[in-house]
Amino acid sequence: MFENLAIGFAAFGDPMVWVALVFGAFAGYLIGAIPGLGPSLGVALLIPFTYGMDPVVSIVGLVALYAAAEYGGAITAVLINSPGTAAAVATAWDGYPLTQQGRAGEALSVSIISSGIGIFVSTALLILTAVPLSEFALRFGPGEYFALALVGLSLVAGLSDGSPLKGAVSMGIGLSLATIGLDAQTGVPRFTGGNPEFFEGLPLVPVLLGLYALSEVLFMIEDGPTEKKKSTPVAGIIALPVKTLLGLKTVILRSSVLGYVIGIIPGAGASIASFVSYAFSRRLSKTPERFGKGSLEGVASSEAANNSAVAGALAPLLALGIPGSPTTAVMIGALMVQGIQPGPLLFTRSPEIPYTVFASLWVGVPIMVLIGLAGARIWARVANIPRAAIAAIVAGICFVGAYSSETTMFPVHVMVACGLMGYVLRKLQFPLAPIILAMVLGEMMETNFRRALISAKGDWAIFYTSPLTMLLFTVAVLAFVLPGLAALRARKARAREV
Amino acid sequence: MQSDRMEREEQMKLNNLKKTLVGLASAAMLVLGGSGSVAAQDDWKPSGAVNFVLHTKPGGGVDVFTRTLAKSLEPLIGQSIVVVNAPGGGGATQMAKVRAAAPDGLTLGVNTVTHFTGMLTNLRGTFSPDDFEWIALAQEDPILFFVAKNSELDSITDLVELARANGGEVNIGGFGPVGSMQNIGMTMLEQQAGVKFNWVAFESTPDIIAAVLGGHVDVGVSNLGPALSFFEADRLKGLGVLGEKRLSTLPDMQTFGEQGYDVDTSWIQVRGVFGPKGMPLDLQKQIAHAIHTAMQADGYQKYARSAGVEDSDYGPVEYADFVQRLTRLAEEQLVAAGLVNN
Amino acid sequence: MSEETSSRRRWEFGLHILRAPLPVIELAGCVGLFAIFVRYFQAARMLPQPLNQIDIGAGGFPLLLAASTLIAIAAVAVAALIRAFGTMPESWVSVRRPVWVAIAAVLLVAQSIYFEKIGALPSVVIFSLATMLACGERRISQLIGVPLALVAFIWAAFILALSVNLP
Repeated sequence: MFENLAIGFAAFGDPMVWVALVFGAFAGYLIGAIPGLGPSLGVALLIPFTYGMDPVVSIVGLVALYAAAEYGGAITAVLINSPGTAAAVATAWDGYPLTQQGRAGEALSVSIISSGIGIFVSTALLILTAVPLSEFALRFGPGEYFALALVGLSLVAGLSDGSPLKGAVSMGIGLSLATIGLDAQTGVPRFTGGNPEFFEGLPLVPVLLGLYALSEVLFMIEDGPTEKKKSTPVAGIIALPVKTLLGLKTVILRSSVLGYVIGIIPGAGASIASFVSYAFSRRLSKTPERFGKGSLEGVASSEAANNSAVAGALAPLLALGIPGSPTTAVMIGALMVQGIQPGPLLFTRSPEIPYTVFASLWVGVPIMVLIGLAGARIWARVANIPRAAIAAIVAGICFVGAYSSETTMFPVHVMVACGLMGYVLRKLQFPLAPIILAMVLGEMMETNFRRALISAKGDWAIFYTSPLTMLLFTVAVLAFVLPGLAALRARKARAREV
Repeated sequence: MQSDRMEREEQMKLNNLKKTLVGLASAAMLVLGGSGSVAAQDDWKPSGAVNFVLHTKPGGGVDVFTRTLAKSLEPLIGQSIVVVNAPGGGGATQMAKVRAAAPDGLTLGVNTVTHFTGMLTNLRGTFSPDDFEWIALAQEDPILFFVAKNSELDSITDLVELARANGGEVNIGGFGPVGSMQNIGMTMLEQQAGVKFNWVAFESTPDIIAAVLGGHVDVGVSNLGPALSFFEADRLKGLGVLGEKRLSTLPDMQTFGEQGYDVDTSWIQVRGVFGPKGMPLDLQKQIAHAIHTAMQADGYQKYARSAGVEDSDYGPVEYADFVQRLTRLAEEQLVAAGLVNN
Repeated sequence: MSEETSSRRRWEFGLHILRAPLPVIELAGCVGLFAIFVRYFQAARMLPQPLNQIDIGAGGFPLLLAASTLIAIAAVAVAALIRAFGTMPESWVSVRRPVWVAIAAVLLVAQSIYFEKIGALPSVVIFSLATMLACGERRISQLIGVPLALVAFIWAAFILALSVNLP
């Protein structure tokens, strides 16, 4: 392994590899921060540029872009409450309140440092465990995936603040949005009104942009030209004392491990990882009441997890040739153009590819963190741009971003419809996060439930005979019941005080 | 919305008119120059950038094919090629763009078998193969049935025997819902063998392979490309390929026909190029020739071999015939499955 | 969004502010959502039965989902009713500058209609200017500078760097 790692680091003798790494990290950082462009679209858009390059150079650039773009989504989440990816939704819960308190610089510094540590730790895990854990992930059949989706949903039910009933309705809205399109098992169009544009379902990113960013624009219009709270300028390299960072080390380490493990399961990905580790951190925190109101722990756990899920998603790709996320699926295409077919033989046949990926993740971390810290100083000032200008900029970029995601008008229409819906729902004080997570998980849940029943010939035993499924169901029930009990106890305590 | 679309069509008509006028002018020049008769054999010389409209997002198999082809096609025709991703509507967005374009060879689409099954089912009445010119077939990609290495099954015959003994209790995982390309391949085998299988639909080929490796389905269906490295790593075992002849990369795997199941071997996955109705046959031949020449380039060959696809040299005449045959076959199967009533 | 101070607890229907108690707004919202999910339920019932007997079919999951969501909506409505007549401290919902919010909403819809027709960059210029006006910006330098800077950025990032085909 060590000589292979040496091969990986040796690739950095080529200056082109450095160029690709820095360029990829920088481009990914910007692409992630632009609403509408996420990691998978960013990688897809840049694939044509890699055609003429050496395979090692191109894979280093793409991996750097993937990792940095997964971080970039946090910037808009923190600054304007508009997560660029579903994985940054949990970041917005605490990041945006921090911005409102004038602590945008702090929030951004914590998010980039947690992201960096997340990648660093998960890469170490990736090198040690990519092959065995990917083999283990094969044991996830339809029954297990269904149970996993339930875990995700029950976590959100526990997380959504305010009325749990409203959270349930939001979840219903998200799940019903996920059923639009051609049915995966029978091919029948559902809830499309006969319009073929809806056949492939509602695209997630435009829904996300509409619900969060456009509805936020309408809220900014409400506030009008009134003064905003100025954000504290960033002094020094990082906006916060080292002591604060040290206090976050357990949260970051735990979230990195969780993010990596969840990221390995193909299809689970960064968004479930960030929600799960956010939930864990809140549960285990000494100050759970600050979550959702501007807790640095919240930002750290979400960001560490969604970035270490990047390394997780790369594990089954490198070890087996099975992509763990939409972005890695696109990367298979990039490798194929180079004449490399990722598969179970990649490690033996072209070890330079996986080991260069490992090395570049490590080498890329300091570069990414430096870009991020430098960026945090600039972004913290962006938070001071007059509200009218921010509203116009967000709306304009959202339109262009949504259009570019499919180069048709359909996502733009979806985004505007969701923007108006999001504004109304926020006025009614319905939480938005369950809608997004239910959309992410809805298809996974339904498809795998039906796939499980079909492949078991209608025998429901498939849902309770596998120990893995049972374990996941238990977690789901606990995640649902425990916060409920805690809420009840809190309410009783409050009632006594009154 | 409606008026917007009309406006757009109006705009396109205007553009078409402009292009037609330019085309007429250049044709007239050719005739005047006395070289009109050899124009048919001329190389394809498009007058501007060529748009390849795709029905998928960037990064998928079709996208990789088109961009790789474009790279070796660009120097050949001396024009740049713009790959336009127009996903959505099971190909509807793309087909609408291609159908509305001028038949001047500057707007082309890339199609798969899904286009034909789609036009028979969900897009029936919206699009039909007669709305387009089918210009060239580039890739043939037969489907194959495979199992995990430790499976007891070794051949299609074993599979059929097992299904007969269990009354259909064999799970076959493949891409797409009932009525999809691979599902129809399975039903054709069912009819030949007189058994029933249990179809489990998946939405991506890696998922199918993972399910087979993890033992969640008994048999998987896929094209060679995504499964190839698993065969080489000795993780998968082939049962049979639905094709005319064995695959050059996996010569040990028998065809369905060799094992005594006479399934129509024109049921293969394809990647072809099509354009709007009304393109002159000469132009189509030039385009087909240019594409097939570009496919000989080293870069394309390297990609095609690692993707496990076979090259095809069907020009407009052969491809149009092939499309008809494929559509007829698909319609028969869809009617038999009760998905289309005729 | 909701103001809890007692001075802000009264109905208002002004051009500068709309305010109503949260439970009342919730009830209205629940009626709307209920209607939508009833339609969804009906559409789910129309879906064809599966060919495969084991499958619950295309409509199975949506029916279950619609039914449980309808129950949840009803529960939210009941909770709102209890609070409307109960002793719990009431919260109020207000929409400030409602006219401008409505105009901005219309602007978003208009932009989605005209985006492709007048081209991405011109429509960004026009609508970002209009959005800023709706947000109450009146400084000429801002009104000219921001749209131009935005278009320059979009041109550089999307067209130049990523070569996206914008209309």
